[in-house]
Amino acid sequence: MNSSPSPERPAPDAITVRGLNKSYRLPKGGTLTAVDHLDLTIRAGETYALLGPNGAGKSTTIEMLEGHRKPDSGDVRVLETRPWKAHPSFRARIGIVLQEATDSGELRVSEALRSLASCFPAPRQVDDVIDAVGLGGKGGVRISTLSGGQRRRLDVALGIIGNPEVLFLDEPTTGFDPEARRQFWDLIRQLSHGGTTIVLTTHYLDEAEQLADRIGVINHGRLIAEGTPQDIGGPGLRVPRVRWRDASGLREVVTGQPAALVNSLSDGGATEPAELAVVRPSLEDIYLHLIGTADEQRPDHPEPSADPAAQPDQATPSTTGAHR
Amino acid sequence: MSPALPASAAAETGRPAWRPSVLRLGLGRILLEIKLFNRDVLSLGLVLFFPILMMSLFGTVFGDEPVFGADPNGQGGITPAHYYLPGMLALSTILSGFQNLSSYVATERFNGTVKRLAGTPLPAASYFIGKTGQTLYLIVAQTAFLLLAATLLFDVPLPREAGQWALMALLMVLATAAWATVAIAFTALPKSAQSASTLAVLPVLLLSFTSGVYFPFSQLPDWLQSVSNFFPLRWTASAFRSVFLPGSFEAVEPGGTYNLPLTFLVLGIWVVAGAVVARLAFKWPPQK
Repeated sequence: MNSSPSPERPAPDAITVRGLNKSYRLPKGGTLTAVDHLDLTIRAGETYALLGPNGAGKSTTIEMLEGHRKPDSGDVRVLETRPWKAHPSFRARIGIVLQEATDSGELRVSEALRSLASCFPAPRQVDDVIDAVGLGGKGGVRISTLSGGQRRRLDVALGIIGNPEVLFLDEPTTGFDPEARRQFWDLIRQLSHGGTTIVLTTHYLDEAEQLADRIGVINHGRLIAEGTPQDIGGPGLRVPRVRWRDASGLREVVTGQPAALVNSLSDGGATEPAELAVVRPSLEDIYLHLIGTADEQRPDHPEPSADPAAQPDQATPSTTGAHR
Repeated sequence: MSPALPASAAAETGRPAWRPSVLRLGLGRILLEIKLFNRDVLSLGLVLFFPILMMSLFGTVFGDEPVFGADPNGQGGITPAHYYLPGMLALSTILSGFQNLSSYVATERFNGTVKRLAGTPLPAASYFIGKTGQTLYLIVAQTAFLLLAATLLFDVPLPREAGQWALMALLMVLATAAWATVAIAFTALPKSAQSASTLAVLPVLLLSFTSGVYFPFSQLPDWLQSVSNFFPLRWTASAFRSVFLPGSFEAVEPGGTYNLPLTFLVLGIWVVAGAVVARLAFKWPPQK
């Protein structure tokens, strides 16, 4: 698709996942399949967004990519390395922004960054990173006094201080106000322009649309759709709808030729149908459709776990066939 | 906003030969841990002053006359503060080595610190060097404060022989190390930071009452003595008594002896067994 590697120097893929499985033993007995024969390829320099409902297996997947969880089976390669128990030189090449963190509250912003920078062979400059995440002037502030949005930016700063080639962001903008999110997106774009491969999970469709070169939708531990924000789901899910109101009420017609329909409805522009609209499905519509289709084919799905820390949640073999 | 953040050129070549220095990063962690602990004024105050506070309380309750261990003529006794000094020193090993360290490590297991650090090239060994340094810092500060308070406020006579001081230092390090390894193994048990700090109080509370810290050990029932014999605190307390109390006090110890060889054996077993269990129980990266 887009951003294909230049022909003279084909860069290896940053991440390849083949037949990845992970299940958890439930406290009450039985097992729960969190990731189910997942295949994934993320190219070097790409920004890739993993979407999916709570408990779909996003966090479990990203944690296996980070080396924080051990895969049951299957092959995971990040920068041509198996992340689980990898050599520290591998850890020096990746950056991780955790889903939620409340650590180091008594440290100052610059102290936390300097301390983490010392673990890396070629870290970024602390002051540069503080400025880049929009915390300029906050270097001497205790972390516990930062606002939620500032704290999250610090998390990103801590994730990029080591100058990673691959950056993982797990739900980075949860709880941001709209302006903070836009600033955050600018930061991610800067990193992407600098050549960093970025993998993020998010619940915000607009975020994926804004940032991602490609989107993967994951549900019940499987990749059920993948593509650019413009193509994902295929043309079949992108057929426009024409809505208007007539004597019988609100009408909606799904059609590939909306102009022709509007033309005939309005007698060639002579009349104005009430509440006329031509609507193209948004990414959110497409996403909900994809998730809904997956669930309809899967009658029994229990409630997600109440414990957000134990993200495993549910996923049992899905019959949906969109699996690459 | 600054311009694009470029990935470094070194990133292109990969760095297979690079490996972090365990010692250099460990020293960095020690400085950071000490800085952090100094900012946690409440914990610092509790750990540093709790033993002094307890010693002062005993002095207040029992007065400052040399009545402890006196013969029928009222001679040869020592003050309550003098009598309780070894117990308070022993108590400080479990406070710094176990209670403080375990609640710190447990908190860091649950608030993302361990997970964040395990996601960087920082070796687990460097993390524990940092914790060891912080604990040593605490135990030295705690001991110095307690001894200063004992001699300046309560006129407790301190040992004059270098050998006694060396024995005390060795006991301090060994007892703290024993508790520290147990503390790290212990942090694998609780399911939340809250339950960790609650659970950590229990052994401290129970053992301090059954190990001759607050009451003379020989006054405990035999079965309780036997149980306490399995734990380091009882041995640490009696060994500190051998350092600080007059020779006549050895007679009231079980079997009429401080039994220092057995003390070192028990502490040594705890250090080794604790280290093995800690190594097995503590996961880096943390795994659920």
